[in-house]
Order: sequence, then structure tokens, then C-alpha cells
Amino acid sequence: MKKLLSILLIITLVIGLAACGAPADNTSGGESPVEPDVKHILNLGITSFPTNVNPFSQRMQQDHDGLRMYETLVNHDAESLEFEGLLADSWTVSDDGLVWTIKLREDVTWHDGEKFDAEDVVFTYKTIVDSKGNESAAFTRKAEVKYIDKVEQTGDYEVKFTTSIPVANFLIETLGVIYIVPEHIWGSMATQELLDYPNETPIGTSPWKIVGEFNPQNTELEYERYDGYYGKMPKIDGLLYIMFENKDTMFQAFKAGNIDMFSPSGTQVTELEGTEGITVVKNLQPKLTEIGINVWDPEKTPIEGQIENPGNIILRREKNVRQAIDYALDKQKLVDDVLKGAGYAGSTLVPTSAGKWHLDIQHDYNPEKAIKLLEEAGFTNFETVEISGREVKVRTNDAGEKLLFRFALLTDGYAWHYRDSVPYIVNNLEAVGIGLNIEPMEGSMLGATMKLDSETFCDYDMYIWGWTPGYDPNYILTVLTTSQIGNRQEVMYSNPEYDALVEKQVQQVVDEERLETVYAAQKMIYDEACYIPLYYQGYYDAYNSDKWEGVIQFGGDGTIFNSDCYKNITPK
Amino acid sequence: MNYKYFMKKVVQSLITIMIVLTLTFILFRVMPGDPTAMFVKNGIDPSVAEKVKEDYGLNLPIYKQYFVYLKNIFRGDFGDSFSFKKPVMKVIGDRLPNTIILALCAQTLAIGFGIIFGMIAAANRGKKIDVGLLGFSLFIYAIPAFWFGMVLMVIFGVNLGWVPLFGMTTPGLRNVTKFVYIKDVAKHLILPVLTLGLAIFGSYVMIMRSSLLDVFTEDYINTARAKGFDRRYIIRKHALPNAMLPMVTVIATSIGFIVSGAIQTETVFTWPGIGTLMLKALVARDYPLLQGSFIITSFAVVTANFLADIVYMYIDPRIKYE
Repeated sequence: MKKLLSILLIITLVIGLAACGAPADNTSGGESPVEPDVKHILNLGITSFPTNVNPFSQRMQQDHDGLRMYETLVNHDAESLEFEGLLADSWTVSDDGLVWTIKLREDVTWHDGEKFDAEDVVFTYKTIVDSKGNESAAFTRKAEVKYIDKVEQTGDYEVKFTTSIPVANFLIETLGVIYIVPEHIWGSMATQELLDYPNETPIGTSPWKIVGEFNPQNTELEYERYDGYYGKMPKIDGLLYIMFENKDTMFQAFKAGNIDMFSPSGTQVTELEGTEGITVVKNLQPKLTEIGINVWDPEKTPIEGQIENPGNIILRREKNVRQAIDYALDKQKLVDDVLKGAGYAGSTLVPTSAGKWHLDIQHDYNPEKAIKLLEEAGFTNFETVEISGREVKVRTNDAGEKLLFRFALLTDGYAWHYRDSVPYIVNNLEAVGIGLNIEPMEGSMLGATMKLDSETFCDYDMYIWGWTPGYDPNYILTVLTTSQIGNRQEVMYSNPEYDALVEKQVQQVVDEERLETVYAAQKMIYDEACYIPLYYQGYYDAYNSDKWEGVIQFGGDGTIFNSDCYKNITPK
Repeated sequence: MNYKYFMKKVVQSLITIMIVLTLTFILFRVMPGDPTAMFVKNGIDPSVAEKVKEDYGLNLPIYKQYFVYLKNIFRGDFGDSFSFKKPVMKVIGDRLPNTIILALCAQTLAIGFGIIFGMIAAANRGKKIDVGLLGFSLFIYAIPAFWFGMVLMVIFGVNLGWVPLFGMTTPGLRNVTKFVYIKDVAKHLILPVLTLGLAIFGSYVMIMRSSLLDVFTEDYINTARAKGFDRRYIIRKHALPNAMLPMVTVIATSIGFIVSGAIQTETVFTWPGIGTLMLKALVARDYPLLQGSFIITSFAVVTANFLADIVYMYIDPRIKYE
């Protein structure tokens, strides 16, 4: 017995020491003890760690935390949302909107000391543009350069882009998203090599230099200030992203002062609010949650291999019923109860946080109007049906058609607020005589009903789902165009007039003109009511205001996890 | 040594491993959709996916695929992890020491205290100390590790500030000596080891207690008592060696599962081990990594059981002289 215990103890000690004896990469054994300097490092709590820091092939949202060392040519100013030059000093566009001339900054150096110039920009863009015809070259930003025909170096610090059509959102969708990489490091690689390059010691131009090597298996990612930075110098010495597997642990770490910033959940916010030295802010980024209604008309929009729409005929035939659904929903209650106040009631396709691009129509919660619309559509009778063991009175018309629809509800983890919203939606709609049969399903299953070659194509009536569309309205507007049926479209809406508006706005380089078209497109979808925005949901961010000041929310009400905030934040 | 027994156990272990490998192969292939659909979903171009299909032998008939799969496994090639873009063996290898140190420390504590408390409870059957220990063990056994971990964290980490809350080292720790590093890891080990150790401690107490109580009813114990031996001597020399037989099986199985990590404890304390790795692989649908983790865990459990059988050969004379 004693022997067994001793053996176990020895094994533990030996393995323990062996494991400890192999310190992390950044720990140099044998050196004289050096106490960590007192530095002002901002500790940021995150729940997903970057997986890839190769700007050519990164795809995940969380990868952006690992790409802080890189910069784009232009950027949104976090406070005004106007464009400011980063690596670009200034830019002009020709009268026909086809040629963009970018003057670059001349005082930029890479983190390894090399000078930055036009060659780096041309190399980065040309690499992606030249791959357009090569299907096997999976550059992440291929879509963003689809209108670029030519990239030319017109001086040591000047680059010219020629596009095939005028592109209204060229600044935000192209120049603002492509990270410039150093030609002297990446230039000698072949296409596949560029995509596979693990980029463990990334060299960029930003004020943040990576500390050590990047390893997707780590739980920490540290940056130190790059003192050779050309622009506004951060006031802190570094950023330290700390990954937590569990949100509750992150919350406790915040309370214990181990991290300075994180995004708490609704219940955590309740506990944090009113705590001295802690500031909680609403973080509203462009996010949209909508109820989509299957409106595919097989005669108007024929699809090869698909003959019938198994969805509900009333929903696609009766605009009144769709509009009644919109009026019957108390969206503000969803915002208050489900989102705990972090969001706005939805009305039009482009979310409020997209700034001026959002067409501001206030949602009218009006059950009486909903009833009136349903009655006008002929649904004046009632029939009792059984839904999940309950007896529900639903409206019928003289032909015996019932207002009883299937409602697809996602079961995926991120869909928590969809699930929490559904009881409210059911109550609101039952109050006006519309019954819903809830059909829980995984995102992939619902997605399959929207694929052209799927056996279950269009086999749904309504669903609840969402988008994170970004600040430019183009992406979310294109979702409902005919060409996106089988791709991003979920409701199979097709209207040549709408398609024309979307096509037009993307080519209008003058903002005022574009704004009119963007509004007209939003109004059209609002009236059609095939895509009912429920809410523009937000989150919460919290920071330790005892230790830090100068925190900037992106766009005034967005996230505090943004570059301008990191540059501006100051220790108290 | 009983060679017949030894060979029988070797063959049994090999058969178990083959069954596990086959089941893993089948599982991987009955999952919805073509395995390459996952590559495409991860943004890889279809032509690249075709190449991957060829590399993995997925374009071959199913029986040939099985042999390619076996060949790769025996060469230690589990493929590349989708999410880490590194060989699965390297990804697992990087995390394994972290899990082993945590689980082994916790197991040692749990086994040590489990045996001692189990003995005390059995020796005092029916008395207050027995009821107390049994109640405590059942309570500890029943509460979920993630909840218990959070409670320990709030008390000792947040309120009292005695121990670090999360991770394996202090964030941003670098340029320190080995000694400082070891001290830091040791501090970070306290809460996870306590959580995991207590979570498994209860079961050891209960098994040890019931096993000893069984032995206490045997004739040879009565004989020893009749001979006038001291009570402690009887427990140590006569009861304990026989009561250890079921304990060896339980310990071996637990040690086998060490490599699978402790998902709940590792998640609560953000301990970078195999448990959190498997969870990540599952969430990211990183099937090669998941498959690799399953196979390695199965190997470890089969090996631990095999070793337990061998230990039996030495501690159970019935097998030795069969």
C-alpha cells in the first residue's frame, strides 16, 4: 500500500517537474531573475482565440485580434465614422469614378525597420487581384477586389487603382479592409505558399508589435507599443489579450482586477451596474435579427429542378398578412426583456448602427392595425386548432385557409436570443389570430432549405435568423437581390426594381445620391414585409474606470474593443 | 510469471484497440455529409478539397480507405487539425503535459486521501465519523465540478485573493527563471487540482469503504481477531491487501482517463489541457483533432487496464498460480 502511494507521489513529482522544466517559449531558463517592469498593459478578456494571423487566408472573426500589427490604407475614425488615412495620406477619385489615386505616407517603417512604400501596397493588392481567375487560390479578400482591373505603382509613394465600374463603397469595402503586408517578407513566395504561410512572427506597421511568436494554441496574445510608429502614439505600453474558456471565469477575473475590459452577459451586467470603479456601456454594432418569410413564386422566378414551393401560399400571396405580422409584434418589449435593453426595435433592413445609411422608420406596434389588415384580406372567421397541446384560435377566410404557419427556430448555441424571443412572438401573433407551430432545427438544416439543389428547398414558412452586415449598407442590401437566390438569400424574394436600386447604389460615388437610393431600397423591403427586422441587437462592454480613462466607443455607441480606443486609453 | 494469462491480456487489449479504431473509422464516415464538405465549409477551395480527399484516400473504395486509415494511424499520422493547421499529434502533444500534471496531482491527492478516509470510515462503521465521512464523500461526489470550481474560485481567488483564478501562468509572465516559473505554475495548480481532486475523491472513499467492509466479513479476519492481533494490524496486513483489488481496477481506469483531460475543470480554470482542446475541436468541428483525441484516449485507457491486469498478476496469487 505504502509502496503504491509512494510510487504515485514520485510519478507526480517527476512528471510535474519535467513539465515545469519545459518552460514556455518566452521563458528563458538560467537567466538572472528579472522582475517584470511596471508597465501599463491593458488586459483584455476574450472568449475566442485567433487561429490564423496570415492576412491572406484568415477567415474567422476572432483572427482580427491577432492582426493588430497590420494596417489598412484607410480606416473609419472611431468617433466620427468618417474615413481617415492610415497608410494612405490622401486619395482622389476620377470624375467617372473608375480611377482611384492613393498617395501614401512617406514616414512609415515596418516593425523590422524596413521602409514602407508603394511596392508593398502594389504587391498586396496585385497578389489578390491576380488570383481572381485562379479558382484554387482561396484568398479571403477576393470578393473585395472583384471590381479592380488594375493596380499600378505611379511613384515611390503613389498607387493607382482602376476599377471596371464606379464603386461607391471602395473606401470601406476595399481600401479599409485589406491589410498591407511587407513585400520584402512575402514577395518571394508562390501563391499556395502565401496562403499556407503560418506567419508566426508577423511584421506590420501599426503601433502594436507582437511579443514572441504567434501560436493558435496559446491562451495569451501580447503586443507591445512600437515606438517607431508614425501616427498617434498609444499612451500605454502594450495590449494583452487573455483567453477564457468560460465567461463566468472571465467575469470573476474582471472582478478580481485581472482583466481591464470584457463583454459581460446580461445577468453579469446587472451585478456590475452600480459597482464603483466599473463602467458598463452598451455596445451596438450593426447586427440584425429578422423574421424571414418564404415568398418564392415558382412562376415568376423559375428555378431549375424545383417546381413547387412547399411553403405556405397565404404568406407569399397576401402582403396584408405579412404586414399584419410586423404590426402585431411588440419589438420594444423584446429589446427590453430579451436583450436587457441592449438594442433597438427593428424596422428597416440596414441597422441603426450603420449611421446615416439606416432609414429611420419607427416601428409601430399596433395590434388593431394588424387585425384590420387581416380582416381586409378576408380572414374574418376563427377556428380553434391545437398547438403544442394548447387550444389556439386562429383566423380563417371563407375558403377555409387558416393563418397557421410553421416557424423555424435555430437550436445553435449563438441563437439564445432567438429562443428567448419566440414566446413573445407567439403571444403577439396569437393575440391577432395567427398561430405558429415552432419547428426547432440546426442552422445547417435551415440553411439546406435555402440551397437550390436541396430536396428540402423552400420547405419552411417563416424563420428567425440574423446578420452582422458591417457599416456599409451594400452587403445587407444585396442579400435580397434575385442573384443571391441560392446563395445569401433566405426568403427567395425577387423584384427587378429592387435589384436595379441595389445595383445603382453601389455605383453612386456621391454619398448624397447614394443615400437616396439606399433609402428607396429599404423602403421597398419595408413595404413588402417579407423580411421583418425584429431588432438591432447589441451587447455590453465593461471596463475598469478606476484604472483607465480615455475609452472610446466605436461610432459613439459601438464596441470599446477598437484601435482608436487602444491608442487613446490612458492609465489614471 | 503466468505467460498464458499475460498473452491472453495482450491479445484482448489488441482486439479492443482494433475495435476502437474500427468504430472511430465508422463514426467518422457516418457523420452527415462528405468529410470534405467540412474542408469546403472552412473556406478551402473545392479543388484543394479534392486534393485533400486524395491525400486522405477518401476517393478510394471504403475497404481500401480502412487500410489507408490503419496505415496512417500506425505511422502516428492523424492528419492535420483544421483549426490549428498543424499535425494533430503536435497539437495534442503540446497540451498533453499540462493535462498530465493537473490530473496526476489531482489523482494522487484523491487516491491518497480516498484510501485513508475510506479506511477510517470502514474501521468505524456506523459511528458518527463514518456517517460524517460518507455524507461528505457523497456530497462532494454529487456536486458538479464546474460549480464547485466556481465556488472555490470566488472564495479563495476573488474574495480572499490567496490564489490565482485562471490559466497556467500569470498573464504576461516572461523573462523569469525556472524557479519563478515553477512557483507560478504551482500556484496556478492549486484551485484546479483541488476541484478535480475533490470531484473524484468521493468515489474512492466509497469504494475503499465498501471493499473493506466486504473483507471484514471474511473468515480470515475473524481468525486474525481470534488470534488476538491488534485491530490496526489486522486492517493493514490482512484486510487492506485484499480490499485493494477493486481499488486497483478503479485507479487504473482513472489513470487511463487522465489523458482525456478533465473538460469541466479545465474549462472553468482555462487550463490549457486536452479537455479544453477536445471541446474546442468539437465546437469547431475539427474532426481530425477529435478523432486523434478519441484514439489517444482509448489507447491510454486500454493500456492502463492492461497494466492493471498485470498488477493483478502480482497482487492476486489466484492469478499467479492459476
